[in-house]
Amino acid sequence: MGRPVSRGLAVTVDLPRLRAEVRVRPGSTVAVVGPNGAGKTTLVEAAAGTAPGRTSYDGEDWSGLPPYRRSVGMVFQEHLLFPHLDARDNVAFGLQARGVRRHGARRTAERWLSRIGLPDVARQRPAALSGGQAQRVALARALATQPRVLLLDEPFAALDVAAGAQLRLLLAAHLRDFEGVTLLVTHDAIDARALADEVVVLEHGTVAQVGTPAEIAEAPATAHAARLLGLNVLAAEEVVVPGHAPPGTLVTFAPSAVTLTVDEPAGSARNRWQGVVHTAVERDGIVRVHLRGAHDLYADVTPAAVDDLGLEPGRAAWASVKATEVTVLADGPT
Amino acid sequence: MVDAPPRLGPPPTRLVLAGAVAAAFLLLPLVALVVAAPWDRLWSIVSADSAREALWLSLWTSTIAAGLCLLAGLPLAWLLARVAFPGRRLVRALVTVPLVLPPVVAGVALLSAFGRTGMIGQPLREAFGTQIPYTTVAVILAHTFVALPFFVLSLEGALRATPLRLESAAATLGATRWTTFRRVTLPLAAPGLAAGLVLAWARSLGEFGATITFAGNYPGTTRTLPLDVYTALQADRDAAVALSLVLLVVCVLVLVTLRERWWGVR
Repeated sequence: MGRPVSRGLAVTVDLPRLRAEVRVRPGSTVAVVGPNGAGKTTLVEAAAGTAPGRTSYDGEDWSGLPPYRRSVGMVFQEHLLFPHLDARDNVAFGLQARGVRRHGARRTAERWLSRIGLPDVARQRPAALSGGQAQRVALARALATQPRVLLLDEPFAALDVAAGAQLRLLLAAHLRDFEGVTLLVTHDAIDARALADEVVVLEHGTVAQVGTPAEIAEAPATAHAARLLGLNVLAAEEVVVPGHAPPGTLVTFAPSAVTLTVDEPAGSARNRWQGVVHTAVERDGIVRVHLRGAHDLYADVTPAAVDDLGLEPGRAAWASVKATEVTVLADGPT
Repeated sequence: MVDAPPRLGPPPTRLVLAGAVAAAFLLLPLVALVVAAPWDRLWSIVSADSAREALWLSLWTSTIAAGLCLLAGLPLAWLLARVAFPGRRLVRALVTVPLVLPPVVAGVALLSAFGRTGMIGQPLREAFGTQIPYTTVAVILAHTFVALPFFVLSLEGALRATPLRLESAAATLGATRWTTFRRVTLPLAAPGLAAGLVLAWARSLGEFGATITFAGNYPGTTRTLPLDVYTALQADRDAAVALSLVLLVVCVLVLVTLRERWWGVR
């Protein structure tokens, strides 16, 4: 390689409680995950310029620049809309701050509100919006200035399941053809799996692991990463669940709830899928088996079971899970 | 919305009684003022040229003083609330001094600074031949000096109450600190700003000690309404009561017009 200039975003934080470096390639999304207090927020704040750290974008050193001279857009856990401005003026704020005249900024803001499906709230103040609407307006506000770096600090955390799912869809649609970089702080496996190209696991103030969501799910370096990214995620239509789950809903179950057998299971488990063992990685006395078939499934089994069943890569096996182990996660778009 | 307080039983009698005594103590003199007013002569006293002159002088000097508080106090309050400069605690302590200083001492201090031989007064007189003491300018300066701390402290509190996180959000949207101040901080602190202005204006309107010391008591130029009350008291007690009543009515009017802002939903 040996390129002198790295493309995309590079953020380095060097504090007593957090020493970490994160790189985001152009056009990609990196999810930063980790337990509370791991320094996830500090990292995005360093990228924004509101916390100390070194930042560069496409070889351009941003380290000494105040936030307002960086091309960033940020969405916070709380929407942080300006309470004295209506939704349209909130979205227009960044454009006006960057020199666009009020009339033009408002027209652009109205287009953004239409794009996020909320053309009717233009003249409403944030207090009149629902949590989900407010967070969508906050996303539009962050995107309206067309920043090269999009920073998302737990944007779904304060939303209920339905509102979170709606925002996630909106974000995924935007990220598909976004040419800048996105840094997403989350504690949610679904966000990381659905939105991120790469996951950075922060723990105890350092980077514990970097990899694609699949890589980390296959061989998590820490217990937290295992719990976070190890969940199986499927569409509701493909799974028998307790109660009712409307189409478009996502469901999850833990790898520890999955039973692996060589022959088709005959027990009471309602959900069963056939696949081929892709990987089997042992950590702390538990083997995580990645089964590939119609779906990617993860199962945690004991080393003894692996030996008994001969679960080596390439071996066909059945995975089954009881309907009562399945959790309904999110409503689809409404 | 305020939650209903938990039911803990009736309030203790001794606290209720002591509280009622305090409220009565505050209210009774005002009632006495109204009762003692010379209602038959009221209009002639209040509409006398000297009284109208004093009221008018009080109103406009207080308004200018409030304006000066805004011009000078707003930046100072912002600096105290937002910038961690060295000596900030000391500056805040100094701002509080005039708050507890006896007004007559404030007047003497102003004389020392702006008097004929004062630190600022002497060079000013030598350069421009201007004299500040015993002029209407002195009235305004005295008002501003005593009112500014009220304004700065109440506004600093309001500025501190506006969330810093919103300013971070504004910064990530490309707003400089000046834009953020103008478009986020100031509008959010507006109710506090209005309360601070009213407080400063009311404090100016009632100013007596610093004014009479620094500006004297000259009809037409420095005799504000409180000074007129004091002057009247020497000769005609009824007139003093009537003029006091005017001040009381102005104050009540201010409170009533601003009640929503001031003690509205907080």
